[in-house]
Amino acid sequence: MRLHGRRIDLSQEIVVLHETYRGSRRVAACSLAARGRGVAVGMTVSEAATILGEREPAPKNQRWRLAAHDPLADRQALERLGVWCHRFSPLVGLDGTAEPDGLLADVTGVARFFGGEEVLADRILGPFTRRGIPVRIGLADTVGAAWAAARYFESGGRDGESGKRKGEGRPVAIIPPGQTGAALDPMPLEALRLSAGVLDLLEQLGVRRIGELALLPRADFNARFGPELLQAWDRATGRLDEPISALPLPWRFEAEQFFEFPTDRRLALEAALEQLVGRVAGMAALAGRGALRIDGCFDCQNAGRVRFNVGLFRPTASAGHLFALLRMRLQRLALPGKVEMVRVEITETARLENGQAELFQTAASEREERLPELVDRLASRLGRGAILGVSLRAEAQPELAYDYAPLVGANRARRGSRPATRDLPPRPLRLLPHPIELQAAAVMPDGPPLDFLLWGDRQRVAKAWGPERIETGWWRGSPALRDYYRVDTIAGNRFWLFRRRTDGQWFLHGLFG
Amino acid sequence: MDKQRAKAMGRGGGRWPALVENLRRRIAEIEDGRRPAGCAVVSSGCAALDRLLPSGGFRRGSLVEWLSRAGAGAETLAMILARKACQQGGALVVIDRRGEFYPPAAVRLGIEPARLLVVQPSGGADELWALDQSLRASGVAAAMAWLERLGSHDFRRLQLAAESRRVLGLLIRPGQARSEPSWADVRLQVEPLPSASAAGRRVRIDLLRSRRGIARGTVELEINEQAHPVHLVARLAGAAAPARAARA
Repeated sequence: MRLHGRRIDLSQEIVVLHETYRGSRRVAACSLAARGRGVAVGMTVSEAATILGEREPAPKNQRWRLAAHDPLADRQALERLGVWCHRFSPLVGLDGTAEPDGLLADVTGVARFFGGEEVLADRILGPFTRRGIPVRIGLADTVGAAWAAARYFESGGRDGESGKRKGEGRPVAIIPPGQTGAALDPMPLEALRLSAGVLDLLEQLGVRRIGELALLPRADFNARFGPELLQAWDRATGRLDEPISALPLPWRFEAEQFFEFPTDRRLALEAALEQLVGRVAGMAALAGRGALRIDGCFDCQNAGRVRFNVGLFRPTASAGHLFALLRMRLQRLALPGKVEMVRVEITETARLENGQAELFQTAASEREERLPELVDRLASRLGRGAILGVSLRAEAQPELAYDYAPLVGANRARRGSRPATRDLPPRPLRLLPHPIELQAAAVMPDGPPLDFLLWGDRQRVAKAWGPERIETGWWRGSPALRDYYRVDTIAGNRFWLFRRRTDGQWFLHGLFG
Repeated sequence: MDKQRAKAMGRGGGRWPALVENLRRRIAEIEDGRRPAGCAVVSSGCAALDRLLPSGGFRRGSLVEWLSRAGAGAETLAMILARKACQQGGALVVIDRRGEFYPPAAVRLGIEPARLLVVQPSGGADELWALDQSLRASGVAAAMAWLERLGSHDFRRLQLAAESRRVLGLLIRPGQARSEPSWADVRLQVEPLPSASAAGRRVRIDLLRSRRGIARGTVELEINEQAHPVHLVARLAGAAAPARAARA
């Protein structure tokens, strides 16, 4: 079994990470360049600042950067890298220390697909160096040996055939099969991932290298150092197995189909799409996930890719529903050429709510289930932004008193309490998006209008109720100062007019339909 | 057949009214198409208006056409009816092509925001399609749209869509549409009347046409906007509901 481990390191820039320790800010980690200038882990931030020549960070100066140490974010970033590394190995995990800074991957039998272990190591190294992430790779028979190889290969001389010192050529150490013991011997004891207590004890005894452990009586290890030392050593040499706890793979539900004879016939494309959607929905249902967004892609001959997608209101694994939505989208799609390949992928999923059929399914509950289907259908043809849910806001200015939010892809959390509308005077069912300026005549400068000109007709006012004075926050850019009137014309229609108090201009804002 | 009828008549009126009633019912069933008799009926909350209608209310799974000028009161009446229709569950879908719908007013009339679904299509074709889909959906209690132009073909399609489910379709149309043919179950014209107080608006509702008969009628109502929930009150004076002509 061949394993490899790697370690990720900071470089070039001067970056100092601080953490709060016993009330003061101390350096938690620093880059190599910072270390070169004299900053050490554990010193306070102000000391480090003095060493580096200036006070608290001024970013424009020489890329001196101070940031908070965020172990959780580091771990998540490492997990993402681990997921990326799945292309090299079926089993990738974080190394088994408390604060992992490397990845372990089981590459048993994988190397021959790449043409050898050296080539595999190069393949892994490539993308990292391109991104400027310095990486060291260790390849060995056991997890422990690989971990050690990745970190400590430079000390203690050559390890295996391709042993290289740090700074020389590639940072790769490969311990050939069978030579694990010999390779481990010169390495320091830290390579065994022991705890500080055990390391201290061994230091006191004068034991510094792994090879020297063989000189001590094996039977006494457990009594003197606890089980940890023996277990770590045996795991590194291969007498005991060490498992890797693998990172969970993200869900991927995709399917594709090639056409031997590229076609642009709609029926054929729809049939292929239906089959693929069926497969993908089946995969999702098996994993207990429902699709929230499904993407389709056509590869056209000589003409590139055409993509289309559909978002859903509620996660579903129903192949029929998904296909119906995609088909509607497909009908509006123009294909630039004949299609060679169709691909369907579910890009966003959520856990499927277990729809347990009730014994006596009431009419109400049955209806509730179907409404999301209507929303999906409408959204897939009219666009997600056209299907809206409403929430009210406590807001004086009428046009701002409510919020529209698209239903598809929205956060399903129910909105909070709704502001009381009971105390409001009546509001018009039709509110013009932009109030229309009117010419109106009023008796008194501050009174209701007598008549106004609307759409070419002179409307005489029979009765008016109001004014309802609405003033909005002066802290907004353009506050609205309006006097609203409910106006009944002689013809009987009821309108909502307001006079802008700043200049006395009359506007029509709404119609009481 | 004639001999039988003569015999029945000769025997006295015993079986004759029952036979007539039976035939009447079967004719109604045939006329109504797929909907079974005794389908759920939504009351408008006002007995006078309900009496005007042949079914004693507005039937679910049918279209109601409201003709009026802007600002006359048709939307308010339709919204009150929609609220009644949603009382037993289901959503209200409002198809708002012009982007003029004002949700707080609907909420004030008693619609729950959580049940309100607003669709904003960009064109007439999309508007009709959205309305058609909404009328065919379960989970929807009522669908409302402002349709200025509606061709006969589209109208018929909407009527069939409404009949396939139990959605109450509310179409608000301009007064000029009176001269056009209609496939709605019930056609009402709404005229505003001078209001006395701020609290109520007065409207006159004419039943122009109803598919289940040649009934006509008029009723005057007051929309009591101060009350919660907003409801309709019949005015005693001037409520004229002429006796319905018996169906032949």
